[in-house]
Amino acid sequence: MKRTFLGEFEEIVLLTVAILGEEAYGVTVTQELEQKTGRSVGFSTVHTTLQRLEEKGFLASQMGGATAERGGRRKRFFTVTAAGRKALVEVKQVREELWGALPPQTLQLMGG
Amino acid sequence: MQHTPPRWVRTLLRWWADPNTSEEVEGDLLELYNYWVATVGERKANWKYTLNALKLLRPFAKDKQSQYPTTYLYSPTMIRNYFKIAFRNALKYKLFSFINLLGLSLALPSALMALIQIVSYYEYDNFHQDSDRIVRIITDEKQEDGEMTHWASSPVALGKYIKEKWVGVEQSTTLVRDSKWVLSSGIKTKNVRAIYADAAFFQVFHFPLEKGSYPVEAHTVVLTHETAEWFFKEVNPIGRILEHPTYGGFKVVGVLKPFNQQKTQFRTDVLVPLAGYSNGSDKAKEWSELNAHTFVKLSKGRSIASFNKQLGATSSEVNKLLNAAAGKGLAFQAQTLGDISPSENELKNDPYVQDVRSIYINFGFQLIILVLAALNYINLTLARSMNRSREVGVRKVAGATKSQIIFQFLTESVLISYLALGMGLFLLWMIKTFIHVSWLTWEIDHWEYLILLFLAFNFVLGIVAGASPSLVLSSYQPVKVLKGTISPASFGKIGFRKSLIIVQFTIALVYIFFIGHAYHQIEYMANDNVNYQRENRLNIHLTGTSNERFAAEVSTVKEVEKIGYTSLSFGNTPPYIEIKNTKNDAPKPAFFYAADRQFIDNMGLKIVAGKNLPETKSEMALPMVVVNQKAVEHLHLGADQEAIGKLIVLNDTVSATIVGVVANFCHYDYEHKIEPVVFQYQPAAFRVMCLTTSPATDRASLEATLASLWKKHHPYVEMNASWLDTDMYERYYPYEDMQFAGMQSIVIFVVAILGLIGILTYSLEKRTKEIGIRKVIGATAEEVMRLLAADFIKLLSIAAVVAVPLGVAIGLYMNSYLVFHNGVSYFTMAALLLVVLGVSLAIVGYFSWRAVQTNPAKSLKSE
Repeated sequence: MKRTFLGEFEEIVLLTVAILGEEAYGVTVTQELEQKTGRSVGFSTVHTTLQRLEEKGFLASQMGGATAERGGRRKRFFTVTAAGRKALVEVKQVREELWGALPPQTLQLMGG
Repeated sequence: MQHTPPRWVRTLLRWWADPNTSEEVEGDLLELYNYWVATVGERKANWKYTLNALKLLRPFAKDKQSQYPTTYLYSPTMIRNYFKIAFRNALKYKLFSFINLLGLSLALPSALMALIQIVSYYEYDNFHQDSDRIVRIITDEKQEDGEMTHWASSPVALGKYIKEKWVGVEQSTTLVRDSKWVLSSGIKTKNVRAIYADAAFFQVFHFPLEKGSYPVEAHTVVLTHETAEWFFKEVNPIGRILEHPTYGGFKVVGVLKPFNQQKTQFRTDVLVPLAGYSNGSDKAKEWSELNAHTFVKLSKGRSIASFNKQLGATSSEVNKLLNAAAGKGLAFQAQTLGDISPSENELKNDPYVQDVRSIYINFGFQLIILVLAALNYINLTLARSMNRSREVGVRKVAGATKSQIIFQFLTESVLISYLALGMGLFLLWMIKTFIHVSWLTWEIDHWEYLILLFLAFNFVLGIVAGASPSLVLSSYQPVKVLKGTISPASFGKIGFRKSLIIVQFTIALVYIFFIGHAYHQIEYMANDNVNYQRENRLNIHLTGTSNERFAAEVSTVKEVEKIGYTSLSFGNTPPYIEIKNTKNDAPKPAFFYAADRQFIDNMGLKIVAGKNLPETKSEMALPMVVVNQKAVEHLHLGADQEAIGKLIVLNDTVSATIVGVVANFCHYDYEHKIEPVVFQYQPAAFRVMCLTTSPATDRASLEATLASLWKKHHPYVEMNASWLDTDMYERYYPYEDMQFAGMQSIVIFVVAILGLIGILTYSLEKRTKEIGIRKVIGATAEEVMRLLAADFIKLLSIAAVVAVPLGVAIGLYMNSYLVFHNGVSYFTMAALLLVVLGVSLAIVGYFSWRAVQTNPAKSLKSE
């Protein structure tokens, strides 16, 4: 089975876009990531990741309407494509399989 | 409060970030920026913004070609368009274009002349053969305390020494300058500049002879063409004798072809052999005194570096010879002829050579007028910015970029500047034809540089004048402009335009005060009768033979009131003698005049103690002297009264009694400090007969009468007589320079007035409706006028208040250079101030009156 590789940061970004639903664009993704993960995320990193994900076909984007703020510049909203959803599910499955394969003593040791 | 992120970052983003996503990226970053400002503060937000933006730059990733063709800023069509609009605008606002053009073109000639002068500084002495091989030896003198003095000159003996000692030196020549020579042909006397030069001078430097030969023996002289003409007119000067009061007679052996004195550092009137100079001088001083200029012509292929090495060796030998104390000494260095002018560093004893720094400071002064005219341009353009703002708005909406609009306004200012250059060149030609400017040469070898320089200069001028208007106008936002909510451009609250008017008038007034003051002093020097009487004094130069019978006949002429004799008439530099109290004292220098009682009377000298020289017709010198107060002071004789009857020793040989003391007076140079003067009755030294004539004399007929008497007694020599007052007037009144300076002050004034007119018409135009409404409501013409003029009167009075103290300060400063001066002329200043303010007020009045006269029915028709 051919699998698409998804990097760790890509995965988080993809997930965040999915969480935000209709409101996902550069700024909200960056701020959401910062709040949820607690780590400082550069906008430039998020932006390039979003671009890459779109190129890979996991995300689709369209421009929103003109707004009064930000000097009349439009926003680019991102939505997760079917391929994206599939990739997320695959990643989740892989994770769960891996967790499931963990010996119970080890799990106990980790405090889980 | 709205914060804006650093603009340069956005510009970078536009250039080098992915153009496909630029819109949302910019928007996102802006949103984040505001969020950061709110959470972490502006400074950190700026930092984060910049960092994030920089990471997004992908300089080489993608082709930046936009999908739309951009309008190419410098396409021929656009450029043609810029010019077309510029011309149309110039024609549409004729008055303002005229003011700008006239102001700039009036101001240009003086700046252009300064440029010509700078070019000529770079062309000094370029007419000598093999000038690349000629070097001058300059000296660095080190004092014991380590201080260095840089001299352009060198010891007298150096040239000969080098020529004899080193190979690779083709020629060496030594010259000594003496600018305080006096030569007399018996008919005419002139202060001249002399150069002592050896024979090699004429081989190294190119000063061809018109006739005769170069001087070799002592007591021969070569004259420049002009000097020969001045002394001898059409007569052949070769073989004639010119007399120097201290050095004796010099035989004229040659006349140089005319050369342009402005183009060489060897400016002189006469050249005499160096042999005559070293004759009397002290052997020891030959090396210690740096009063000669040594030039060396190197052999072909000789490098300056290797010559400098030899000079280094020479320096140490000379220092040994001088027995110099440790740390003290001379160091010689070669400087090529081309490097002499303009000199990079200021050198001492470097006559007629300007150093680069002072050249540019001078140039800066010449630019003042031009700066004023450029300010007019800026001022007027900004004032009229309202008229152009709509144009800017429409252009921007139609898609013009900021740079295109800037380019439009710069085109206009550069165009005006070049039109002004055309007119300025015409004015320059007029000046060249009609006014003789003594400090400038019009003969420039590299006209092509000069023309390029002019073009470049005016280009810069256009850019400078257009810079601020174009920046202000191009930053108008179309939305605001087209909505009509913008006020005329100005800088800050102080009212940029108003302060400009003040600055202009202040500078104009100060300059006019300066000229007025110079005129006041020159007038004083030219017409002075306070120091000594000039009016109605006629000097007749005597020949060696006895003059008694001539004098007896002269005294019978009824217009002649008094006959006196002197060795030298006042206004020339008299010879020095040494005076002391007793034989063993240290001598002090004093100026010496041989004179008689009548001469001192004639000159109207004030006797403050004792009496005049005794009345006598003796053939012998009398051991009695009249001295000035300074002599009494220098000899420590106490009060003026106490000095009477004291004995002093003249020149080690004669002891003489002081019979009278005269007040200090200026007898030759107004800048020179007061020095002791001694008058002694010494008939053998009398050279000039000084007559006092009755005031209302027909001068020509008196001269004719005297000439006929003279002819009887001296049939072979023409009488040489001159009126002291006209002589001094001609000497001190620099008519042509004053003409030029006066012209300049008028130009400054006109430029200031033009600025005033510009602002005046503009502001009155703006207030047409106000005036109409006031008149309709019932204001009288007088009231409205007062209202309108008040503003400008305030500005003018501020300028006057600033300028008057400055004018006084300049006057005092100028006087500090003169020992004898006429004080600060408050009267002249007041008169000039009145004229300037009067003209300005008249203009303000006229324009307000015209504005008031408009019929309110017309100006309010549309309301």
